[in-house]
Amino acid sequence: MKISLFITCLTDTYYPRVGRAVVAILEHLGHEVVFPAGQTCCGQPMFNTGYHEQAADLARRMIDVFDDADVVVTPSGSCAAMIHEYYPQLLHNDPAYAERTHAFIHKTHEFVEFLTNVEKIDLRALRCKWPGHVTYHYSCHLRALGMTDEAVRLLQQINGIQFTPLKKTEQCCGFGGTFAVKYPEISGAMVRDKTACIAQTRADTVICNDGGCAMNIAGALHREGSEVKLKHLAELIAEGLGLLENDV
Amino acid sequence: MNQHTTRSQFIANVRAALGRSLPLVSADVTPPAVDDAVARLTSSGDDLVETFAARAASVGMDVRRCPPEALTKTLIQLLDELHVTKLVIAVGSVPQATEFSEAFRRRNIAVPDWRGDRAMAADFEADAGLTDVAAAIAETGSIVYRGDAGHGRGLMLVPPVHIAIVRPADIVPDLLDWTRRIDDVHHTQLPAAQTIITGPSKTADIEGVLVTGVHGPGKVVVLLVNP
Amino acid sequence: MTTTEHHTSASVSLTREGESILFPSLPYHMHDRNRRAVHNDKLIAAVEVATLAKDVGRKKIFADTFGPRYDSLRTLAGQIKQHTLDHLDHYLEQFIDRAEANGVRVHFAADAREANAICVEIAQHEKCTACVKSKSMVTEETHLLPALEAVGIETLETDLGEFILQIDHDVPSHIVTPMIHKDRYDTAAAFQRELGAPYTTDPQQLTRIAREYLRDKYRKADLGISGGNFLVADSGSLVICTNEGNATFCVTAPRVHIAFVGIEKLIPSAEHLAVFLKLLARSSTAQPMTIYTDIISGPKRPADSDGPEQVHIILVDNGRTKILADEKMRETLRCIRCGACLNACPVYRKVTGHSYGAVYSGPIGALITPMFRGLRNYKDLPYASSLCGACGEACPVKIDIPRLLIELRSRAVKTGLAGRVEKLAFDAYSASLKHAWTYRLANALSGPVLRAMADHDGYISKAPPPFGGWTDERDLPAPAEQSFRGWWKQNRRNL
Repeated sequence: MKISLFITCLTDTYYPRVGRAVVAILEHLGHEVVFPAGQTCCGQPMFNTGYHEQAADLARRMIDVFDDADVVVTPSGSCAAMIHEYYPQLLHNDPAYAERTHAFIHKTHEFVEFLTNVEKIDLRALRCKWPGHVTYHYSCHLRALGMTDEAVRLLQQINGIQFTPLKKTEQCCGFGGTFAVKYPEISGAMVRDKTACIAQTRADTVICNDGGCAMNIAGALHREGSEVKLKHLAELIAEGLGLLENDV
Repeated sequence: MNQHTTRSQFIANVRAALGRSLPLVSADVTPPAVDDAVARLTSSGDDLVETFAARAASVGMDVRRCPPEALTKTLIQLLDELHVTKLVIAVGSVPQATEFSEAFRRRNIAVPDWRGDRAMAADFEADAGLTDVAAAIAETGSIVYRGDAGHGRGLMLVPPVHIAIVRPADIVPDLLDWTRRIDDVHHTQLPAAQTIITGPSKTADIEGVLVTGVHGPGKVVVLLVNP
Repeated sequence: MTTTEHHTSASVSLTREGESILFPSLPYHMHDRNRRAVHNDKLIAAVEVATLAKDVGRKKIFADTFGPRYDSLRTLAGQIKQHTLDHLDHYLEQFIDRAEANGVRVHFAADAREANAICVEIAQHEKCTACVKSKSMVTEETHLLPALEAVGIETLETDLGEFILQIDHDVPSHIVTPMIHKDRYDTAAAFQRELGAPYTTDPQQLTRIAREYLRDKYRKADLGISGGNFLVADSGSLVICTNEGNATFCVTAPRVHIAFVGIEKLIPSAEHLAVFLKLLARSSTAQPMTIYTDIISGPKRPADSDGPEQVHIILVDNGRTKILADEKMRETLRCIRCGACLNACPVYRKVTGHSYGAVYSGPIGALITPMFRGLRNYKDLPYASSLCGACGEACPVKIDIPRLLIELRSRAVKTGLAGRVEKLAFDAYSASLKHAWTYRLANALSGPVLRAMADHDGYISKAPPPFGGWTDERDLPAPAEQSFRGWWKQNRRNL
């Protein structure tokens, strides 16, 4: 199928390799990937901070930019959740968009959700192989998408991988967008709790499928001088399929 | 008393907050139905006696059993075991009253009359309270105590031990079944106090350490009289 | 045991700076208390152990009992509460009629002051001098104890946690587990100092000391005060749930009983009560039921031996109609005060209850405190959340807590409380995202600046405002050398 990639602003700017991995995997699975060039941001930062008019403008933009798309895939759980959870509220009073909002939600998938629920991928059959010890960070916004252990199930299909679950796995890493800047003392305590749990697993790589969580956790790991690498599941799978060089 | 907000002022404020000025027609207000498929945990098809016994034990009640004919013997053994010398008894909780009073007299177990004393002096002196129950709930392992003329509220609350006699006929499957009974009773007929008891009095306020017998009895014995 | 009088002057509880913990000067700012709490390792460890255990326990007990029906049960409970709120005038009228027919005297308090005044007047009229009280959030809200003390009515909290807090001049920090922030050593010291009890740190023995002390109080008390978990409109009943049995004592031993109940506690009928009883204790402490569920439908009947001669219920508004009138926020009144959102909240675990500067803490407190006491006064609270959603998922009546926190933030923005600087920043930020070219331009300008600040790993250790807070706590990744967009343009055709 023809898949439109919504890369998200953070992945575009900070984690371009994740985007390349997503493209490589989707193409490997036989899809055509397009990148609508008009895209910028879903409006989540504005919405969560209370700037709802600005967020609604960006929501309308998103719907326009992806108007022609059949299927939209994004490698960030929180941006997908923003669309699914809050676009209806933002645009319900806008007759020009109310109906299109639902169509947009219907066709928009978080990357892992797409692989498991739509594509029903089996990484064993694809001979995905990745030698290393990983743990997995559950991003909170997956809750809004009704997602639970999809990523873990994929990880367990990878040949040669060692997986250790994270303690307090459902506890937020403390990113929360502007929360991390408005309440650094709380956010900092939360992310140190998370890195302590990561260290406890003795994994060398932590899988994190959200740009915001990634910046937060990677920033904390770096501050602590930790050797643990942070990767998106797309990077791991692309490496496991030989589509991207393992950069570790 | 000073002038305080009146009922009509109070209700008018609530009504105004809801954007209305007139009362609703009662018949038009229908609360959501409670769907058993959603809310029920135990149904009449389940083995109610066993379910009740298992759940009562799991919430920390001491479940003992005896056949009806062995009730006196079992009870006396239990009182011996618990070193009970002073016992308050709810009216009608033990059927063979003369048989019991004879047994109590022989063992020097005092059975003071607690009735008519709002200060519950006998309850504060007693080692145990012996009662029957108004109902028992299999779902949660609870017993329901109904305070009335023959059932002082202090009996199940004040002494360190509460012995409750439960018969299979007392047991309803689910909380839903018991609360629906309340709905069926005209409100003016309701007893002033009903207490659903689901274990011995307990607290975990100090560092989450479980301690029983905080204010109420530290031990609740359920004596299940089952043929 | 000696009886000291100074424990009756509790509720003056202050922070180190002499500020009231639950009633600070307004507007309240959270940061000072947050900073102190996050570095109090002993406090954080204790609160984490307690909240995590309850959160895990809650999930397990619902999985073991209702399984996949848990979500439908929460939906049903939310619908029942919402229906009752939407028709609250109707159900209040019904409740009052039925309760009065049962012999209960119902009183109406528009605010905290009036609620306390009614209580004091009843107590004085009935010549009560000694009061035993069970735990009630509404009486914390109305600040009842000082009002009773002022007229010389000695009042003792009987919930073990509240009792310990009272004699130690402290205040609750959790809706359900009020002394979650204190330990056995604090308790031992307070019992020795205030009750003259022998020093022991054994929870069993400490509880025993409290039991003996309070039994005497129950016997002497002529006034019992409680809150109420539910009011059943159809039967006119007051429902009180406790584990210790202290509320049962308070509503049995003294001759006069007064219950403070917020108007949001109404439910239509006893059948609905079953739904909430199934949810309350499981959500709260992972128990199938609280140990004691008292259903009080009037004063003692003439033939009854024990029980109160008078039962008064004070229906308390105190800001609730304001929330009721606010259609978006009305659902916050569904709350049954189970504490599950506090136990699930990672922010609560790090800052603990007193950082919220109000009677209600945690996620639900961050919603209702600004509603009760003014968003202007508590504008910090709705932002003190990472919006992780754990609270909404834990709520047994499906209050959409994250969405409503965002709603309060948007009100702060609309009313200018969020500040001009922030608004300018967000206007500029949003403007840069309105076109792909402005977005690219903004990144093209900021990227090199940020990369220049970074170390060779690509991390910034000291960022300029407004991101200084970020790098106080962790490093900030710098933008990648080449964006995804740049890579696509280089490697693919359709851009």
